[in-house]
Order: sequence, then C-alpha cells, then structure tokens
Amino acid sequence: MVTLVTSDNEKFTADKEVAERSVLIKNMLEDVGESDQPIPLPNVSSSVLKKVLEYCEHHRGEPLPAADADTTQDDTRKRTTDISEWDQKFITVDQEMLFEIILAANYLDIKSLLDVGCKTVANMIKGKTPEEIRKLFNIVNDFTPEEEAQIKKENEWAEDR
Amino acid sequence: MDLDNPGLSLDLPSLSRILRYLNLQEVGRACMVCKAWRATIEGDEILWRDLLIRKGLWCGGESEANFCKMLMKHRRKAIVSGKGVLPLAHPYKVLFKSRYLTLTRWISNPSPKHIEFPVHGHSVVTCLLFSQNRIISASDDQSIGVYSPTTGRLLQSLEGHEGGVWATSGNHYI
Repeated sequence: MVTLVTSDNEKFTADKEVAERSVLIKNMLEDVGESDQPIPLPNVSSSVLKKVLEYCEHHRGEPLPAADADTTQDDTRKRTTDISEWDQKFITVDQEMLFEIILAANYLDIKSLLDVGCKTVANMIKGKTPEEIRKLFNIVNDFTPEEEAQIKKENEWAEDR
Repeated sequence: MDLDNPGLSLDLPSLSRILRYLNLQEVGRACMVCKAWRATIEGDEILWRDLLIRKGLWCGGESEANFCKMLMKHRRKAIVSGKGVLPLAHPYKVLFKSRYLTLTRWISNPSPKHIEFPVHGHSVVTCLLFSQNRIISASDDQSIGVYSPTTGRLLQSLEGHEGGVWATSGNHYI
C-alpha cells in the first residue's frame, strides 16, 4: 500500500498498482525504494485526489500508454473525442472540478485521465461561437473593437468548408 | 485569462491539449475568444503541425523546415512596426493557411471564378508576368499593360519601346 498526502493534509491509502497509474508517483516510488513514507502531493486537494483514485482504481491493470504516444503521427490521424461510457459518467462533474481534474492529471502524469478531461472540454467548445465560449468559461473579451474586427477577418478562411 | 473570475479558469497548457481535438473551424472560433487564447492558438506548433498532417498537407522531408527558416529570416529583416501589437503566428500556421487555401481554391473549389479581358488587340503577347498582385503583359505592338487580376481593368499602360517588347521583369515597385 502507498500513502498519499493531499494539499489539505488528508491521508489516502491506495494499492501500489493503483497509485502507480500516475507516472509521477511511480517515479517517486522508484526513487525512494521500499519505504512506508507518505508521498506528499502539494498540488492536489483531497476532493480531487478522491476522484483521481476512483479513476485509477477502475482502470487498474490496463496497459499504460507509451510516453511519446501523442507526438507520433499515427496518433494524430486517429484523434477522436469519443469517451467510454464509464469515463463519461465519471467526468460528469461541475466545471471547476473538471479543470481541477485536468490540472491534477497533468501534474500526476496520468495521460489517459488527462485525455478524458481534455476531450470533455473540447466537446463543450464544439459548435459554439466565440461569445458562447466566453460565456461558458467566464472569459472576458479583452479585444478592442478594432482588434476584434481584424481577428474576425483574419479567421474567415477557417470558416469556409 | 479573466483575472476577475473567482473560479478556476482553464490554464493555457491545458488549452493547448484541448485544441488538438478541435477541427479547423472550431480552432478559428476559439482564436476569437480572447487575447490569451489567440496567442496560444497562433503560436501552437503541435496544433498546426497536426492540422497539416490531418488535412494531408504535410509534405515531409526538408519542406516544412525550409519554409520556417525562410519565414523567420524574412521576419527578422522586417522592421517591427507599431502595427504588430498582436503576436505573430507560428510558421506552421502560416504554412497551413497557405497550403489549405491553395487546396481549397484550386483543387476543391466548386465554383472557380473566371474572368477574361482583351489585351493588345490582334498583336502577339510576348510575355506575361504575375507580380505584386498585378498582371503585366507585353506585346510586339511595342506596349506594356498592367492589369488588375480581379477585374481585368487596365491600371497602367507603359509606352516608349520602339520595337516589340520581348522580356519583362517585375520588382517591388510594380
């Protein structure tokens, strides 16, 4: 078993096999060798780690993707936003939690979870106008009217299909 | 990003990963959201490299690297003017746009525009030049004409040769 300590000082225990779905934790465990020392995760809160461990538990035993998987051209060609049913249900959370999961997956280096999070946000963006995207993510339009007109013109070519 | 937003906002490295799941039209729209998104998208090497590959526009070999080199050299030479407030695009984006528009306008354009206009009466056109968005034609009738490629309008008529004109060459001022 591995003990993990979150930013809000909560302790979690998990099977080594489950915790090691995080490449960060896997590397840390290799570095410290056999030890009962708890692993501090200062960038992850308990509510997020709970979700992350739930994900790792469900996917335990599945093969881990190669380190350079998303830089190969083959991966580029077959990129889809399909998400499996269980993952879909898992990632149905509020926006703040979704962003926290993405950040945590990135920090903990869990590529498949990072992909699920990013695909989910991509699906939220699809089919929306810039104004709708701003509203969705609470982003302020910081372009001047002149810049906005310029950028609109600049991107017209991408609208033609 | 929105500094007044009390909630967690999408960080830019995550945005980069998310962009890879969008198509060209969606990327174009995301570009118009705010300055930070635009800068991330315009400068995203992997995004534009992926789009080149996905659209079958990646030639491989030295092709792309040479284009980048050429563009960077050109940019270094260009004097930075006050106009360039918004950051410049990654060379792959410039290349993507150029190749994509070539493809859509020349190959998969369902209704290409075609114009015709008379030049030099019945005389022979000896040379034809397309330069700086001008069509320049010369003839053995001793004249040179400069035309607009969009309307065919005669923009300038150059007289003075005492014989037929056999060669033309353009520079930045024509």
